[in-house]
Amino acid sequence: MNGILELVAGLLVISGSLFVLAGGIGALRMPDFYTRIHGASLTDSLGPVLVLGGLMIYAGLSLITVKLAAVMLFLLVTSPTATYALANAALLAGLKPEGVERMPTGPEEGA
Amino acid sequence: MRLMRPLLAVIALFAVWLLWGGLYKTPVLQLGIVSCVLVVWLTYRMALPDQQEHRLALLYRVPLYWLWLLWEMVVTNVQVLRLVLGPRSALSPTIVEVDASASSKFALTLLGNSITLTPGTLTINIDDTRLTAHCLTRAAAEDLRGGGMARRVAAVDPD
Repeated sequence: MNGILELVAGLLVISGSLFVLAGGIGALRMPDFYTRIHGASLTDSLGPVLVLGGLMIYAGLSLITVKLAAVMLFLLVTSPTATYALANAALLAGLKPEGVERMPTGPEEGA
Repeated sequence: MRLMRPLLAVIALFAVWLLWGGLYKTPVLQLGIVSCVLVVWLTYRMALPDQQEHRLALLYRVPLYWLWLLWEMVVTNVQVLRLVLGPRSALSPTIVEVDASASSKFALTLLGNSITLTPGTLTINIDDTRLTAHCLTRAAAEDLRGGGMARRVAAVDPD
């Protein structure tokens, strides 16, 4: 039983790390600033969730798990806020997104 | 009465400090109290807390929403993973505006953060009535325009 749990925990941590790695690759490969943010956002969404989830399984029912859950919660609230600050600052500074198509307002307006 | 809320905030913060630290020596505790007061003072200096009534229903609605959001994150993460590793021609960046005129500040924040948190869509501007998002592909923009996420957020905090 313990062996299986450890295996699951390890798999979660490894797959989370792969997402973080892919985020790095994305930040390098994408064509312009805004799309690079998209690539990098892999790093702060599912990546840490999987890694911390794996660690929580590994730690079992203890105070450490509560702390890890708190870390995850704080991360999920603060990282999109930071990303928004970055993207909005770029927009206000006048950086235009490259090659975008604009869609009319939604949802179902004037339909 | 006006001091009640900041005082409660300090007490709550200090409880968390005790729980996290696990080190109960006098200088550490003094430091804890000082930093809790500092944090609350800085927060009040930045902005007064919103006067909106805090509904208890949020306590269970928000976690339920997070569960849904977690699933959404899994789906979109895999999509963006493919885009990142695949050819550039698969990208079709699109800007879409989501109407959010009926939302409270809390709902607006939740929606903006949720959009950013799911890879492939990124909130770049928020004002009181609408929210502008940059999307990696047309399909993601269509999804956002469909308003599924906005409806769920509205259900969490109906005004």
